[in-house]
Amino acid sequence: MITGQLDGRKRRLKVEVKSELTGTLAQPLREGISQIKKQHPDDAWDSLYLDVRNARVIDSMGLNWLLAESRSLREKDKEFVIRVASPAINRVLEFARFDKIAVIKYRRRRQLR
Amino acid sequence: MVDSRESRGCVLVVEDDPEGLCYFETSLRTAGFQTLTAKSAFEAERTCQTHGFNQIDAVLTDFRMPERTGLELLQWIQDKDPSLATVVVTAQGEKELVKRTLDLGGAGFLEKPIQHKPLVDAMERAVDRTRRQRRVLSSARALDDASVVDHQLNSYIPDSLRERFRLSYLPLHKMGGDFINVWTVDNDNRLMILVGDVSGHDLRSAYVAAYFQGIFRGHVESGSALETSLHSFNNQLIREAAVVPSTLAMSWFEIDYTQQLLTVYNCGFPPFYLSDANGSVRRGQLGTHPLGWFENLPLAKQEVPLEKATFLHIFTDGVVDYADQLGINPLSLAYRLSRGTIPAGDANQPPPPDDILCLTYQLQPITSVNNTFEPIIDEQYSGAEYVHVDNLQSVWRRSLQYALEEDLIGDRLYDLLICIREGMLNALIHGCAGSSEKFCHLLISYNREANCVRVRIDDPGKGHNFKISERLRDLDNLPEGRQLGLGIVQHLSDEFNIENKGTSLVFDFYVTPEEAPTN
Repeated sequence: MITGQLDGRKRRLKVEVKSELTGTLAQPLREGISQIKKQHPDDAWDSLYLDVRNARVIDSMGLNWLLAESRSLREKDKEFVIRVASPAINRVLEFARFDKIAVIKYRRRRQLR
Repeated sequence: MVDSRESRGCVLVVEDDPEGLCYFETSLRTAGFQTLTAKSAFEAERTCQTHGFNQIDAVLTDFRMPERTGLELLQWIQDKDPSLATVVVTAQGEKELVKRTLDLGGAGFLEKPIQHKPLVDAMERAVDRTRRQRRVLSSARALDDASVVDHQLNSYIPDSLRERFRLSYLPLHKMGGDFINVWTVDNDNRLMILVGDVSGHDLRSAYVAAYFQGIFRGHVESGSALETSLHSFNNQLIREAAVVPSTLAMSWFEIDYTQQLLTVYNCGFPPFYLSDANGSVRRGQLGTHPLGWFENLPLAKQEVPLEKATFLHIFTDGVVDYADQLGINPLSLAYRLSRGTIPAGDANQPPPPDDILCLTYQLQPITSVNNTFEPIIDEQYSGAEYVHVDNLQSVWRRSLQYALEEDLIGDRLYDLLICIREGMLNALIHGCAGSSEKFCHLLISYNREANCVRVRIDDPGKGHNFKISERLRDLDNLPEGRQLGLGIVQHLSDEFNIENKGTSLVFDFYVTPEEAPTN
């Protein structure tokens, strides 16, 4: 559901989410990213790249999880970058003004499923 | 003209060698066969055409002949009359030839030299095979003829009313037990629709369906009370259960245009739906049990004012079962069926488990039938079902994709799904307070001409005064919860309305697909 990898050269912690960003999955996502952070000490990375290009659906609880994550990163003075492929998810992030609190890298991809 | 009925059959013998031809002819005649002879494949073809294929019961042909071989003749016969069995004579050890003979549909082969008994046995088998195949074909033709009559009897709508009906009648086999019969009385001021579903889906069911329609219509047209007719047929089915073990789910609709009233009797039929031009639906009551179950037949009369209803939607439980099999809402299937866009023999879909009859009747004259909303999903959920929202979302996605066809929706499908999910979570968790005893209602309808999907969600809660601008004022300090949900719906939809103090959400989506890159 969620995997992590450190790019030591660029000092980026790359986290890939393979599920939807919904309330029913928020808890495992929260625990998953917490585990990944524990494996990679804060001083090893400056920005967190969250890749949600596999997700097609987000709901308000998924959004709340992202908000909570952004707050936590801001407190540690880390950059938050979200990679998005779904137009629907991008529109929701636009609506929630996520561009003010994170860098949204959106590249539209045809929904095949 | 050869009369093969009195003999063991008529065999056409084809052999260019006069001695061989004489031997085969004599041998077969001695055994009681009638024979026709030809010295070449060309002559054999002329003989078949002159006498007629149905006068010949089998062909015995040598393989090696000048100009055309026995295999070429076999191929020609297979093209003209595949039921006519052909035996090819080969030289010993010609295994490849034997294989090709059988591949081409030959009934068998005989290796030279040929003795009398093996020859007679082989031709007896060939004649028998031809006669069996012709009987099967004859039965199939008779069934096809009966199938045409079945369609005419079991889906009868007067020509003058056909424009206002969208009907899909798909018996599982050539004939089935589902039926619809429509007629008018009082100078077309009253319209009667009789629909039924006889148990089973075979010839017997088709017979009972036709029989019931005749009796019922006779009763009604002769002025008998409807209830009397239903009780009468119920008793008849019970009395004759040993002879005709059938039951009948049926529904009778009377539309009185003068009084603008719909009267319904439902015996074991799925509930009907009335929809208006804006996509609102009224669902009919569940029926009592089908005819033929119990002697005591409770009849419940439903009277529904037509009001602004545009369409009457009726379908048999075959539609409900098939929708269940496809994991979609029955109205999504009914919508596609009534549009006639179910691909026949689609290998990607499982076949229906039962006969299917689905109809949409246009109650009022409308300038453009396409420019109205028609229901494609109608569901009630208890508040406790919020924990299954992922499963519910799968059903909504499949239903929308099925009803509207996947390429029509494109990326907008996910905007729509996110909004339905948010609206429903709001209704289930807040409106129904997560309780298994409170229910909310999801209705999705589609306007084909406007390419617009309308979603309506009603819950039994107290409602709220929702102001999106206040919710978003301080994003960084949002407490936990779903406060953003309705804002998302408002943002993604093309029209958004909160009605009844917030207990009803109505939002529209225009689903014209956008071009997406193909990376």
